[in-house]
Amino acid sequence: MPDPTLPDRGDQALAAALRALPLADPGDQAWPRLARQLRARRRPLPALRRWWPLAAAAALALVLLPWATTPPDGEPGTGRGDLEAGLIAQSQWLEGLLATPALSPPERDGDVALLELGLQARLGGIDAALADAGPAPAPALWQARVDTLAQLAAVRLGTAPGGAGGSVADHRPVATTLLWAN
Amino acid sequence: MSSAFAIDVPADLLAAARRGEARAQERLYRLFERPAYTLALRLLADPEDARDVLHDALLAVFGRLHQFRGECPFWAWLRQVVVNTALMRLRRRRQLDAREAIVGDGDEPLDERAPPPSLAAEAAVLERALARLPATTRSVVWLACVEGYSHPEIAASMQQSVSFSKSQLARGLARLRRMLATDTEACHA
Repeated sequence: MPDPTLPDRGDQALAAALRALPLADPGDQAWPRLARQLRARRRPLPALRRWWPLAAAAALALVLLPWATTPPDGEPGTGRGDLEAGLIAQSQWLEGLLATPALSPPERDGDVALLELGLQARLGGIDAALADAGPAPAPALWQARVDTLAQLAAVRLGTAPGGAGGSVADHRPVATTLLWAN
Repeated sequence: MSSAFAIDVPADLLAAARRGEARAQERLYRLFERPAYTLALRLLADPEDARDVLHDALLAVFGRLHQFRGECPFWAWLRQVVVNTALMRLRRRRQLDAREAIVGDGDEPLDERAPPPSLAAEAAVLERALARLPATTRSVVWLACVEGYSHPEIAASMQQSVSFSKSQLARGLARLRRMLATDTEACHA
């Protein structure tokens, strides 16, 4: 069929010759390169959503386990300064964990929100006491701070979307116990 | 005129690719890798650049599949992404190389056109001649003659006027015919 944009028959023949040129092959490395990038795009978010609560729970367990098995005054031969430094490090790590988007404060009403508020208020009280203590050693206060942050993380972990726990009601007795146990 | 892109894609394949299924994405890629690469290669005349365009364009297509509403055939949508990606690369290249030229007025004596060469067995000669055209002129020639773009479509894609597209096509074809006549004579001498 004649091409209306090409009135000249010679141009039409040339256009036909151009169309008849064989298709070029990009080689066999083009798809693997693209597939790698598509995989990299595909994986992070769903994987993060699915595994983050479990990873956080495991990390939390690692933090909670040593202090659960260690007397507050430390092992024999462990100085109070070392103990306090360890508690401060745990406190900082837990704060970092709570600052991640996956463990942002729950937008829920009722008991969970109340629990969150209670823990935050306790944290405020501990911080005020630490400020009053000044440079003096205060391992008991740091221990309380770590406990409170860990409880906060546990509450948020249990209520996170796709979290490790079940419903809010499932967590209420445990969380309430945690809150008022200390 | 039928572009090598004109491949009907089954709706279920498209839906699976849209969901991010790797096998569907690969099947789509395999359908279009050669037309897309060829188009990029003709516009850019550089295999490495053409592979980059293939990569970038297909990555963009898979990333934006949810935006495809089916108002045109999928292949036409994909082809436009490839064209845009290749032209964007050409524009960047021109910014780097100010010597890049187009075939301008006075370059081609239009009244002294070379006769149409016998091209059936001269694909390699034709490819070489095409690659020697300035990039913008070559792009207009390819989009008009092979992909069937209209002058307004070329003008829109290249951010130029319709008359620019028309003159580049006429002058590009004239130059191509002259080069082919010379090259063919040289081959047969």
